[in-house]
Amino acid sequence: MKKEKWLLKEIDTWQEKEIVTGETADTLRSMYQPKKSINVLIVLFSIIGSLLIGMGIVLVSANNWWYALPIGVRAFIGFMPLVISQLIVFYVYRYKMESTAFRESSALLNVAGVFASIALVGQIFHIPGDFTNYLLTCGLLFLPVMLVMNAVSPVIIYYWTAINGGVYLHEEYGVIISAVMLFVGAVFALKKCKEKSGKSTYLSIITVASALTLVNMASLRYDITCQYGDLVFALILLSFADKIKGSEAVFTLVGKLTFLVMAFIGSFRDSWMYMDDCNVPFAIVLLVCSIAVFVRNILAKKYSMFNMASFVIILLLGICTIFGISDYVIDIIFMIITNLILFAVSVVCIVKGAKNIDLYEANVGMVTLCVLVVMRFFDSALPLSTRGIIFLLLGAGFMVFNLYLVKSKKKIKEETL
Amino acid sequence: MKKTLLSLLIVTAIAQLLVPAYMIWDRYDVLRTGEEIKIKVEPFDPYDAFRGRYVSLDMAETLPFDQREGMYGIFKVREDGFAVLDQVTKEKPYGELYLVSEDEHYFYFPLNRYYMEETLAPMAEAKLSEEKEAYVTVRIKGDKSVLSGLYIDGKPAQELLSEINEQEN
Repeated sequence: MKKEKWLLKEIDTWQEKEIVTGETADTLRSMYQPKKSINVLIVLFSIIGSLLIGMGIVLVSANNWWYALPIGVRAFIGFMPLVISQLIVFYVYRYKMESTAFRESSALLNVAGVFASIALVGQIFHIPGDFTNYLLTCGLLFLPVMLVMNAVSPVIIYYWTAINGGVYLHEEYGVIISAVMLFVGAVFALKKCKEKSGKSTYLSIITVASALTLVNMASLRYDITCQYGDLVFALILLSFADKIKGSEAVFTLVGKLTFLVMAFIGSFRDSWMYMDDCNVPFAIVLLVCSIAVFVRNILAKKYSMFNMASFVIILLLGICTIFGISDYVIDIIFMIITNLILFAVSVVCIVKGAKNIDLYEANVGMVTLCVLVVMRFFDSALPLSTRGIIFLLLGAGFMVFNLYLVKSKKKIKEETL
Repeated sequence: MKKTLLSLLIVTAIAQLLVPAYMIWDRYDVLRTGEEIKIKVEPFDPYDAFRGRYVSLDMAETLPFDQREGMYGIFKVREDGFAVLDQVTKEKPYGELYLVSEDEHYFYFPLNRYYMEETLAPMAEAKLSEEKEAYVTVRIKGDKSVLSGLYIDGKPAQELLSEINEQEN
């Protein structure tokens, strides 16, 4: 702000001293007018204002001051916050869609309207329904408005409703709904990032934080359906976010991290033993989605290693759950395949990192390999002798690989000389 | 594209209205046509940030925990006019007055919230701690049930507490 003011004064001086023409001075002035900051302030104040109004509506209605009125009148009043907010949304959609402040505020008011109206009906009829279900319902109901209005400010409330559902709802479908909701949020955030919107960094951060919470939750709860959903989430993120650079690259990071956590879980035999617990219709939907994404990747000639690896594990999980063929031998085979995939991923990362002098990639590979080695060392499901043989084979494989690297390096040196 | 978005907005607005409308219709029908029973309760007073203050309720007379396996609680009306939990089953009963627990494995009183005006809810709790007798009226129709009133010493709680509130002020 101060710099701009100084510059505007300087432009006046330049014009007076005839360093620049009047036309050039006007162009410069229009370029450095502090319009943008005013716009940002207007948007911020309208968001804060709507948020405060929304919270006020919720609190005033929670007071239950109309308890003496007939039930029909109370039910009618209960609808008012929602109907008013919907009218505002329609008005903004029709006449003020180009104004960020109006879009953000109307979407936030609709969020408050949904929360208040459902709470009021619950209050009038003494509906016991638990808080998590209430939040999930509200989140799902205001989601389309948030998307149509292209509004960023309700996203954090939306993620809160989704994560709360995933953490506190003990039914399997709650976790699935939560995962799907987060996925929709991530797609919205990705779209915003591709638009190079000013809010993309903020959206990236909250999306990453939410996705990580979901991944941690899935790992801690050992919920096989959720883990399956997370792997597909990783595949989709990796497939659609691989071209995004800068702060938005966090999506790729989350995709990779999600894949690694899920694959590490699958590297234990125990995780393949409980495939029967997975929800079969959901597994079919996930598998179909993954095949569609995989075909799209092939058609777009995207052969990223993480994409391929996550697809192979998703395919194994699908075979296991949909056809119910989980037994001792198959569990062992799938566990070995998962370990080999992780091993291959780590080695490819190290090699690529070393080749391109990319420390990030090389470190991802090193960390993956270290975690894999430590996990197998302490994996009590495998007999000591088996573990010993695996370690010997891996060690020998590394030696051979090293030897090959040294030889090829020598060859290149000789050729260049 | 704009037409699609507008259609989506209209469909969402209808869905947003339908959810509370269905909640109202579902309960209102039970309130209008359901059979009424009275259950003695023990209340206390917690708080919900969105729906306000409520008196949390539990049955005053219930079955021991080991006899409450199942989600259907069958109620029998005694000679004094109050209904008590008679048995709990895993299978849906027919021709009986029953409440459905939210927990699939054990029966817990499902109508455990009675929303009241902000200042009255703590008063209700205070009154009830003076060992006043409290009961709720419940309307039941099939699987559905709605709390229709909370009574303290035979008087509607809202009415009694409003009177006391006015006297004190």
